[in-house]
Order: sequence, then structure tokens, then C-alpha cells
Amino acid sequence: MSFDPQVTKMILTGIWETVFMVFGSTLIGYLIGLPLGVVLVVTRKGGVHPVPVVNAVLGFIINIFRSVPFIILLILVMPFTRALVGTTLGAKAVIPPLVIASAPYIARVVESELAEVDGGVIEAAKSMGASDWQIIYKVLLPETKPSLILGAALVLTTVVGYSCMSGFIGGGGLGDIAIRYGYYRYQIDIMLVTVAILVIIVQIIQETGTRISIHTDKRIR
Amino acid sequence: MAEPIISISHLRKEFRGAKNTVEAIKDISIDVMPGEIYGIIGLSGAGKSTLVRCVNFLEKPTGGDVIFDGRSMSELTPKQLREVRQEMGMIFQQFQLLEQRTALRNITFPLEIRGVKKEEAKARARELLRIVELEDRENAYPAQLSGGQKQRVAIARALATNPKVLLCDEATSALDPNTTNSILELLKKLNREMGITVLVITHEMEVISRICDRVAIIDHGVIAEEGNVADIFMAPKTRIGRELILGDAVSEVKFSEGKYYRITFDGRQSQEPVIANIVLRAKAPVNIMYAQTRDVGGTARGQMVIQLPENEDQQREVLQYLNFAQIPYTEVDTVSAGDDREEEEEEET
Repeated sequence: MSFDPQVTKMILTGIWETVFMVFGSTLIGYLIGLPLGVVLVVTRKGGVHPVPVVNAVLGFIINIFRSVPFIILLILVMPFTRALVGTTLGAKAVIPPLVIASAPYIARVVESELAEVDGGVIEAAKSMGASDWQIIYKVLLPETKPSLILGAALVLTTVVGYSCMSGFIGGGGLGDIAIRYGYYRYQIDIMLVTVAILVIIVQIIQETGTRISIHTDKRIR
Repeated sequence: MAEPIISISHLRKEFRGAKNTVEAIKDISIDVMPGEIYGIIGLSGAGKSTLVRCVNFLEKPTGGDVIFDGRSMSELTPKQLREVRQEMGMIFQQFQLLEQRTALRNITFPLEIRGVKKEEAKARARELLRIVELEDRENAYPAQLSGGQKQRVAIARALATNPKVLLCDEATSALDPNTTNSILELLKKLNREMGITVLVITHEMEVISRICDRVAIIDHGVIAEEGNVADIFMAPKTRIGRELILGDAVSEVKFSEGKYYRITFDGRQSQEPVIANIVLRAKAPVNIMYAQTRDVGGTARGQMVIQLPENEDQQREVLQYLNFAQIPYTEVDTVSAGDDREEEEEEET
């Protein structure tokens, strides 16, 4: 067995790097993706403020980003990453491609969640004199809060998977360890440990998301 | 005569689809006076929901205009329109409460929109909860309330900004009869005590006869007839009017061959044995097909559908007696009652 203190330390660092990459890039991803999702749902036909052209153009661009496989995106955005963070190696260097991959995905997830709001409720808000902006932050977002939380858990778990893929280009984190030791050095035991830790991380994220979502949802009970 | 609070003039609304254009409202003019309860009744698809949405410009009319409290709705800027909407409360069939807010915070919603301070809004909301008799449920979420309670919260919410008018779009159609009654009583109380003008949209004559002062019957995007509820109930002039007033009788009565008449009573005739007199006069039996009593504007009014004898002389005798006794009557269109309302006139076989 090869679990000396050095390996343990490496794995602990890997956990931290993975958590840092996943939460960091998802956070930035939401800063971009959430407004985009709102725009998608508000400008669609029958939306709060339909602007079909904006909706079509934005949807088209998002689809382009969504159709590039992540492993290729990692390589495509390398020049951009280098310009932005000064390196293409390590956990920090993976954040730009993770954000570029997650933001359009987040936009679509948010879009489908906000679309759940009943048209009648929006109409009622309009009848009370609410502006489009007020409808967004007082109706659409609060009314879908439980779904948004559940969606965030979905996004985080997906980004965990993406972050591991970045191990192939030396991205750091648990995926990097699994690939280096399991794939290149045939040290299956270390790979299995990292996989087990990844499973636990995903379970924790999902379970936490589900619980918070149920807790905040006032439609139940 | 006072100025109308809502004046709908030559309103038209088309919905342009990819293939065809649907004319939901063809040419409707209605004046609603301050302080009255005005009813608009029609079958589903008659255009009544579109009409009420044109009043607060949730739907922008294709033609014509709405004058609300002296202001032309079509000339307002979007910002002015939002302000004017705060002077018109609206309630809906499906209540449309915010599911993630408590009853209290649902009622403060329109006040937040207006920028009222939090504490002030809460105080106002509590006052409204008292008015709709739900003061003990301020922390309940809509999921914890019954249909009638949800509608009460919705009414409180609609009243929060002290509107001049309350628009009710099928407000009781999702409720059971008892709850319907209590909501109608509440609307009547609000009208009486706060002087708020109420515009009621419904497909149920029961709602109209219980609370409305005046009614417009709309059919295929136009007004078929309009007038005082009592007058229209006693003697509807149009086929659609008769059909709506007869209501469930049409489906309950199995009309066969023969002549059917609907006769109405307004309480005065209670001293007279009308049916017995008809039988004595015509010397032939009449068959009572359907009978019902309704509370119209506070007085009990009855309606009855009778089948006349086959002999034409006897029929004439019956009608003569009805004329003599001043009992309003109309012939019931047995052929088309219920389904087909095309232009064919009332020639019976």
C-alpha cells in the first residue's frame, strides 16, 4: 500500500482544490448564467417582456457553447486562460473553462425553473401595477427559490464531473490525482480512494440541496 | 347623473394567430357607475375574460377605448398605466396568490410595489385580514388555506391599495356553493360598506342574481342585452339571455314535443294560485317541468317551466290568463336549448 503521509496530504489538497474549483466556478457561473436565464425566460414568446430577437440570438449563442464537449473546450480556451490567470496548469487555471462551460448550462437550468411560474400569477402581479423588474425579483425568483436551490445542486454535481475531466490537462484536484495515479501509473488503490471521495462530495452536495429546497418550499405542508 | 367610473366605448379585440384572426370582442360599450355592482355574463368563449382584461389593459384593445375615472387608458404611458392599475383591484378564478409568501406578505405585495414602508404595509394588511375575517391566519401559506380562504386573501390583496374598482374574473367559479355564497356576501359587504365599485365576470346566473345591480349579457363578442338584473331575470329579451337564466333547467328538463313556456313570479302573485287558475281556465292540464326560486336583488323570485296542452285553443286560453294575471312569460326554445345557438329563429315544429 502506498498511503504514506505524503499521499494523504496530496489527497487532502486535492479535495480542497476540487471544492475550490467547483464552488468558485459555479459561483461565477451563476453571476453570468442566472441573469442570462432570466433574460431567456422574460424575453420568450408569452414572457413578461417578449423580445423574440433577443431571445433567439441569446439562445443560439448559448447552444453553441453548450454543444462544445468540455474536454475540447478546455483546450480551446487555453490562450484565454493564460491571458487571464497567467498559467494553464493548476486549479486556478481550470476556473475560466469551467465558468465558460457552466454559465450557459446554468442559464438553461434557470430558464426552465423560472418558466414554472404560472402565467396567471404574473398576470396578477401586472394587475397590481408591478413593473417587469419587480416581477423578476419579487415574483419569478422568490417563487422558484426551492427549484433554484435544487438546480444549483444539479449544477454543482455536474461541475464536479467537469472539474475531474480537467485533470487530463493538469488541472489539479481529485480528478487530476485519479488520472495521474490510476491511469498513468496503474495505482488503482489511489484512484479508487479519490473516486470514493468524489462520490461522497456529490452525495453531500445533492443531499444538502434537496434538504434546503424542501425546507424552503412553502407549497408543501 | 354621475359620471361613469368605467366607460368602455366601442371596444374591439382581435387575436392575430399564424393562420387566422379571432375577433374576441367585436364592439362593446358599457358604462359602469360608481358604487354599483355590474355583472357581465356569458358562456365560455363569449369574450368576457378578454373584456375584463381590456379594462385594466392587461390586454391591449385593438380598437375603442376605456375611460377610467376620467382618464383614457389608451393614452397612458407604461408608468402611468402601472399607477392606474393600483386603483383597480383584480381577483381571479384560480386566486393567483404567491405560494412562497404568507397570507400577510401576499397582501403587502401590492404595497411593496407602490413603495409603502414595511411596517405601514403590515399594519394595513392586518387591517384587511380583519375585514376578510382571516386575522388568525396571517402566517399561513396559501398551501395551508382552503379555496375560500385563498380567495379572501386575494380579495384583501386586491383592496390593499384602496382601489376604486374591484374586477372579479370568475372569482367564485372554482369554489363550492357554500363558499361561493360567503365570497359573494363578502363582495356585497365591501360594496356596501366601502362603496367600492365591483365589476363581476361570470358564467353563472346565480352570481349575477345574488349581488349585481345591472348586468350585460355578452355573446360572441357583442352585448346581447343589458339592463337591471331584476328586469332581465323576469323577462329576458334574447335567446342567449333566456338560456343563461334558465341555466341548469335546460339540462335537467328533457324536452319532448310540445310548447314550453317559462313563467316568472316576483312575489306579488303569492296570493294567487296561478297554476290552478291556468288549469281551471284552459280546462286542460299543464305539466310543470321545472321550478326554482332565486334571490334576485334581495327579493325572492321564482321561475317555472310549464308544458302547455296540445290543443291550440287551450294554449291561447293559457296565454290570455298569463297576460291577465300580468305574469311575465317567454317561450322556451326546445329545439336549440343548450347546444346550438345559431341564427335560426324560434319556429317550433
